[in-house]
Amino acid sequence: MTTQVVRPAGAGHESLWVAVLSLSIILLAATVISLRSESHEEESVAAHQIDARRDLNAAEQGIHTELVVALDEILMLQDELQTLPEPQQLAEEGIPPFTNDSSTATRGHHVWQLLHVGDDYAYQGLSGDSAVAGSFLLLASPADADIWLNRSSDVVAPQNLHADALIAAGWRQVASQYDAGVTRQHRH
Amino acid sequence: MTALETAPPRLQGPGIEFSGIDLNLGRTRILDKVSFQVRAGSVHALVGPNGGGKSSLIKTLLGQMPHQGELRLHWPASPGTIGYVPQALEFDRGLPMTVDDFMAAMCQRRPAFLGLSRRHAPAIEQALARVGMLDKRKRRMGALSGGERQRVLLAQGLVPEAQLLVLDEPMSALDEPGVQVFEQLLRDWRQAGTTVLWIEHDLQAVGRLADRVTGLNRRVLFDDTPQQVLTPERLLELFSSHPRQQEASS
Repeated sequence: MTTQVVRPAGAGHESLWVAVLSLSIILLAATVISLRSESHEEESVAAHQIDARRDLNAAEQGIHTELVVALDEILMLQDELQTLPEPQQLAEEGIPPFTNDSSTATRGHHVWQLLHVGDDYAYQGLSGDSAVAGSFLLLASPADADIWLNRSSDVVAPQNLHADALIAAGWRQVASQYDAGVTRQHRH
Repeated sequence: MTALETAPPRLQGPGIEFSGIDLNLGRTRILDKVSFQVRAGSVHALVGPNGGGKSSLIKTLLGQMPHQGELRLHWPASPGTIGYVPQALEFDRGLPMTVDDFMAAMCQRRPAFLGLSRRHAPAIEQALARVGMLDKRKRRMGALSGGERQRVLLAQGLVPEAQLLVLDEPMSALDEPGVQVFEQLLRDWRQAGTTVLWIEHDLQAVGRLADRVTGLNRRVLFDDTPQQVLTPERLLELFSSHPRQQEASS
């Protein structure tokens, strides 16, 4: 004896199947997404550093970028001259930010000079208006451009170009972060 | 209209149990707490006025209606075949479909334009012979008379052999020879133990041929042997009153 129950026709079963299918698609998608996702941790710069993308104002960003590019030129000129070029020579070559032009005026009238402290050399740009942009220091090393910033209004030439001494003197290293927030920026 | 499931032949038909079947389509109540039983192997007639829900009840039995309530088929063994003969067949009279094409379309899986399948051909031939349509099997369906078409519909209900036959007014269009054919079929089914649920307007035929009769006008008004219930009073009650008034008076 077999009892067969006649089930009512209607969209109920169909709706149930569609709901189950939709739910399984959502679950599958969620699983795939969770398996393939990468956690994005905000990288913060060290206490003595300043972020080149977020913490510099427009004038400082301009000068920073120009210094990064200028270092290549400086090193080439150094090869030719067997000594580091003076800011004056760089200005004559037309290499920003050492030139004296309209953007120099809008960016705080930096006065550039080549410092010689011990065995180390650095280009120092003292800001004429620290409200517009801070003073810059480009350490002349063949590695990546090592640029420091000091926003105080009475900057004196550092006596020591080592990091600890610069930090003690109020300088902060400009650090470039290359993380997921960067879309079109390339590391130079 | 088609075979739902197949099972070994020569099995006794199932009993049917309707208990508290409600059916609402839109806001119209078609069936209201319909409860009765069809005994296994009996010929059970369903009578009632037009719009009383007889055809809806049959469609409910075939699982085509969003009903509420319990509807059970008690099969003696595994669930078998249910045959269905509809009230009428709507199609274009000019359709170039012969009786054979129709039988092929209804009874076999093979596409009808490839002809009768060898497996089903003997059964189809036998079914057409039983309803006396064998000599007209090459005729166009549109060229048949109403009674002949009804006989073809009966024939498709015979293939494959069903343990439960659901007939929706099979005699309405039958001519006199057709009626005799149908009565012979009913005798055969009774002998074979096939359960037959049969909607009929011809109360004389019901009284002569059915084992039991249920009067349905949205609700079950009576359910007994034909001798008991086919009395003038019962029939007046069944056919004269409007369902709505009836509900108010009860």
